[in-house]
Amino acid sequence: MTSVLNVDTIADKAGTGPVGLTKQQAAKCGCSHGGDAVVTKSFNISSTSDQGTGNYDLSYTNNLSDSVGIYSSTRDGTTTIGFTFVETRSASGHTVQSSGHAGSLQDKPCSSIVHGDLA
Amino acid sequence: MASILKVDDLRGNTAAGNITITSEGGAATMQLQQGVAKSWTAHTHGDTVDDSFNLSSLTDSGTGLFICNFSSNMNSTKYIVGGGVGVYSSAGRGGDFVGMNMSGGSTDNRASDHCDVAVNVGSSASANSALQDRDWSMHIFHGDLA
Repeated sequence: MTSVLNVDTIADKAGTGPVGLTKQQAAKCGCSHGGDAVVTKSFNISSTSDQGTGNYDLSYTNNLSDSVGIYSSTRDGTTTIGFTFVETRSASGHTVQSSGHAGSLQDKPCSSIVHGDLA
Repeated sequence: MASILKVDDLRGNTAAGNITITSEGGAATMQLQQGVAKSWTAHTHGDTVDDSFNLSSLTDSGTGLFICNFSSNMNSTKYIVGGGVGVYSSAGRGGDFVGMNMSGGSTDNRASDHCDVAVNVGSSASANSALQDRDWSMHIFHGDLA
């Protein structure tokens, strides 16, 4: 028989800490934004800002525990696609840059995913 | 003594798709469903899917181009895409990139039932990159399911 548990919040036995998701871990931040830094889809993002051509600051709603997260980013482009870089990172956010395939910064929609520990 | 709860199906009580979890540091909470990847795949560029989740099929749509078709659709065309590319030989390591392809130049090829992705390799200060088939790539999708 399938067991179903309906619950709103999961915490450790003490009620204040995280539970172990056995052999799984959730991403802590995700953001898809346009070339103008306007968010199209996100979680744990408080704000984004356009810092110039191809340069975007992303700020977290809930900070990471430190500045060492695990980052993955992609961007939109034409068939001659460009690249993304995580340029700076901190506990409260990171900067992603988008460049064309020859290396110059370009305004393009980008996605970022961050794994790690929340504060 | 550690407490272990064994259950097959976990649902929100107030809303089935909303379960709150506590952060590692205990300072914050987040929605579990937001952090869970909704689809991922790792595949060779010989089109063999090594492993996948919520992937109905993979389409090879050209050199360095692939379509990830979802089993369960996203609820919109607005979702988050990550990925990486792998090479086995040192000759192909420079400038590897994987991302979404917009073949029309201005059309976002994220659809609710699939996402076009592309592998672009070889950019340098003096040379442009090109779409190429490499050894393997991986793609991960976050967002909301329908």
